[in-house]
Amino acid sequence: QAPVRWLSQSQAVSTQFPVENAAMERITSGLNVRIERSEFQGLGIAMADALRLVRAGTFDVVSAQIGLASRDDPFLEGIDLIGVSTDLEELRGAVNAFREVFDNRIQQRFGAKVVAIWPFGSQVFFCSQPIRTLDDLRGQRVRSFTASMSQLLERLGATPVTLSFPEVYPALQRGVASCGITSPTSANTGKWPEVTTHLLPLSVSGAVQAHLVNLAWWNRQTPAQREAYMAQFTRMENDLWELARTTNEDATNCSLGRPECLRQAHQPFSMTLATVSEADKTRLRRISEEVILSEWAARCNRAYPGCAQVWNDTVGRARGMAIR
Amino acid sequence: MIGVGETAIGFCLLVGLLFLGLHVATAMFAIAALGAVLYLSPALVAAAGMQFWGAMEDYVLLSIPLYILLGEILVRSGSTDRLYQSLSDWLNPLPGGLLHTNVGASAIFSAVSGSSVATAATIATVALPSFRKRQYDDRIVLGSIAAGASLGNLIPPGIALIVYGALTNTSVGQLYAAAVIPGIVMTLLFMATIIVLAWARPDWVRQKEVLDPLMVRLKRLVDLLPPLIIFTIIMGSIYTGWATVTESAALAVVAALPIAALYGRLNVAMLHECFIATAQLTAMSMLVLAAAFYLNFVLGLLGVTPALGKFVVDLGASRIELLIALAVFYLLLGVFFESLPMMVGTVPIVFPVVVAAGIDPIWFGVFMVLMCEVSLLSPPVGMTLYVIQAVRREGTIAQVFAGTIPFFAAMVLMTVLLIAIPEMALWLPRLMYAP
Amino acid sequence: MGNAWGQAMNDGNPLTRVLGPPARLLALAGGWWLLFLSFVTCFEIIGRKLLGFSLQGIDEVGGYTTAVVSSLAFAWALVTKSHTRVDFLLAHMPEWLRAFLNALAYALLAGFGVFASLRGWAVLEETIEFDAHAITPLGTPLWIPQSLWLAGIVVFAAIAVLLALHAAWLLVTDRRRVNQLYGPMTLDEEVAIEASAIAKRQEGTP
Ligand code: NA
Ligand code: NA
Repeated sequence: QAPVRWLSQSQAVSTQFPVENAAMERITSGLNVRIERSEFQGLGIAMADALRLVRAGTFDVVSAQIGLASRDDPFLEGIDLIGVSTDLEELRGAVNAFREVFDNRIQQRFGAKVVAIWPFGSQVFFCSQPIRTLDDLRGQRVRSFTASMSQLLERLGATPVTLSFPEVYPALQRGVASCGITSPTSANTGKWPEVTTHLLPLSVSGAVQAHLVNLAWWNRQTPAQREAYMAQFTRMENDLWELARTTNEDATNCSLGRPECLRQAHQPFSMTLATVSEADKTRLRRISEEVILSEWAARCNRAYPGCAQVWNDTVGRARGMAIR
Repeated sequence: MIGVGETAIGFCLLVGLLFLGLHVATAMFAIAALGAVLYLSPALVAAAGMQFWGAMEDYVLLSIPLYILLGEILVRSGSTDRLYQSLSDWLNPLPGGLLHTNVGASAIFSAVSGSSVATAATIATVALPSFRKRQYDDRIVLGSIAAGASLGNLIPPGIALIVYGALTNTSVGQLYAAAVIPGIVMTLLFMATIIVLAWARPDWVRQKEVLDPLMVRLKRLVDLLPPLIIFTIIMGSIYTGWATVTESAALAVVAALPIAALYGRLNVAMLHECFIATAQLTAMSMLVLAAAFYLNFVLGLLGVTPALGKFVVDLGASRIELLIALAVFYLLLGVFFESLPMMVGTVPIVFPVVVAAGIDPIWFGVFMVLMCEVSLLSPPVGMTLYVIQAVRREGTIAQVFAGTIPFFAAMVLMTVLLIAIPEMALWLPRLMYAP
Repeated sequence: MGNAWGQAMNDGNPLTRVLGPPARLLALAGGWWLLFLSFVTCFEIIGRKLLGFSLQGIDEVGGYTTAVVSSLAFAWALVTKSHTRVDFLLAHMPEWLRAFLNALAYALLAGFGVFASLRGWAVLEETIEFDAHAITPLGTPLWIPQSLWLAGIVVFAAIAVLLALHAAWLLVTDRRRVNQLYGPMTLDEEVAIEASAIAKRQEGTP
């Protein structure tokens, strides 16, 4: 029997690896199959090519960063637009509302099925300057990595700067940028707290990921196999959501130097925490509605007429927002 | 999934195809595609297009054409000739006289140029006319130029370091930092070699250099400025965080233009010559690199990485034994190969082994580049040797070969030192990138 | 070195004599673009550090530049016989075997070029099908850099096919010429290139 070719994200930097690996082990023993795990980075493959790779059947299972993969379909970005969900609970509601239309779209366009959707964790602000509210970002140089994020920053009066992740640490250290946006766990493991002082835990997005399977491969499995796979993928998804909550909580505790820090995956530092005000949450949602959503709808509409309505009926309804 | 045996067969096949004189890129792609079809699925051969685009669309690799362009502009600006003259003012009193300038000028030119071959051609062009009028042994003159040229990639910036960084996903900035001290040590070893030779065989160095008046020499110090400025721009902008590695190369290219203008050499014809030379070197590197990335991809899917890692661990060889084996392997391979094919052909296979054995990837990058430089210097296939002979246009290539022997010995000593004292490469990057 | 590289091409091969100049134009275009991008990069660094703005996307355009500038230069390296070959054993083989291997090298290189063109087209085709845009602030429509990249590969492949056919024809009709025109660059040719470069440098020495 042919092995399952499974393309995964990097093991070295991924706190998600143990959870994904446990799912692989359960599948291997439960379904009596062999899994050949590869990594994007090890093979020199771009993460943005995830959808094309699963479509071509180069791999049977692919773990994709939706933000990057949406290069080939802006509609997919709709699952986690900037400013729509300000914490993980809100995000989960949005994801569940979007799941069906998201899966349909990927089946149609990319011949792949969505088997799990999960987040890296809240993307929050780390600054080397005192920051209490979004207002304090005015005039700061902030590292951005997507178009929507740049729009948000510009609206807040900040200067977006594009830098790849490994370049952010020296940039923060030397003042090329004064703030960066990432998840607490990425920041802690990337040692950002050494070069930043203030943490504003207002989440602008959740860095949503998905596991996709090639549809032809999926259809070759017997119904019983599919059910068994799906059970494992669903369990993995739940575990990954739980992991996103706990690791980022621990990472935050550690970065702030709180005694709760477990000192295992994360190192203790002594950053200062700002409290997120309702005013900031409201402001973020307003910018999202005024700028981000409509800009996205325009882009999305090119490839998918009526996609704004689809979004309004799903995520929009779940989050009480609308594209007008 | 394939084992160590199949990997070894594949590697021998690759070497065989290369010896048949196929283009390096074709041979590497053919082996990779063969592996994919035999052991995986044709769908993976079809993925090659995505691989090529992914490998070539890379901002870090843009520093390859930029550093080549920088070197070309500086050579054509005439600043190298002046550098040579000014440096000889101060190195001539050493035993061995003008020979030291060959090494010293190469070292400084290396610090602003990414290519060993360019360094060889430049220094040979500048130096050989001066030696025609003097009484030095031909062989030792040629050897010192070839040795100096081999600093081209070791002293940052260097194309070999960039290619290694791209192939193994290691930080080019850290690789640069790691190569600085070994580069300096290598320079000093070459100079020590000359001093020893001057002392052992005074008949080879009969020339007594006459120094110009101090004021003249002080005035000429100005000519050391252009390379110093360019080097400061490159390293300074990287380590202050003003610029990334690629951006620093772009800054240096722009800074080289006023230097060329100052020396009255900047014009469209000159720029076109620079562009053409850049295009030629870039194209030959990138075609090979694209094929190497695809080979890397197939090897990854074939599970060669864990198989070789396990093999080495099971072998139970110590770190030292493994490194000595690798050094011997590369010294032998270097006899027949040039640095680029040698690096891209072996790194995808050797790197996982090295990592599995617990060897620092940054350190290994410096080791690898040193091995490449040895290959440039080891006859009969050594590009720098032929370039020097080509510039010389008299005598025989055998004289060039003979002249490199003492310097080759110095490089072997350097290899031993690097293995014995890994801190030589690791101290500076740890200091600069200390978390 | 412009003239010197011209000499390397001018080895009596009627094909490279005709195909050389257009290939050279592509290489020159890449050079000017590199220089332009270097200036823009300076502007970005100064702006980012001192003036508080960022063009956002130099790195992205730079990545496309690597792909496009190199692929546009492939053809030039081909007509100047610069694509790397290991000629150590080849030089010691009998003439007939050398001729066969030289023709084979070009046939396989042409095959590689055609294959890369076809797979490259598959990439571009998918990009067009999905109307793919970079997710970066620039939002570049990917068909633009990918078309330029593919164009370089296609020109390279087309020239390689012509050279391979020529080499195959010569293999049948005039074996010696195969080795002369399609062997690895010889030492004499490299000498010619370097000698001309030296002459040029020394002309201008004050
Ligand atoms: Na160098
Ligand atoms: Na050699």
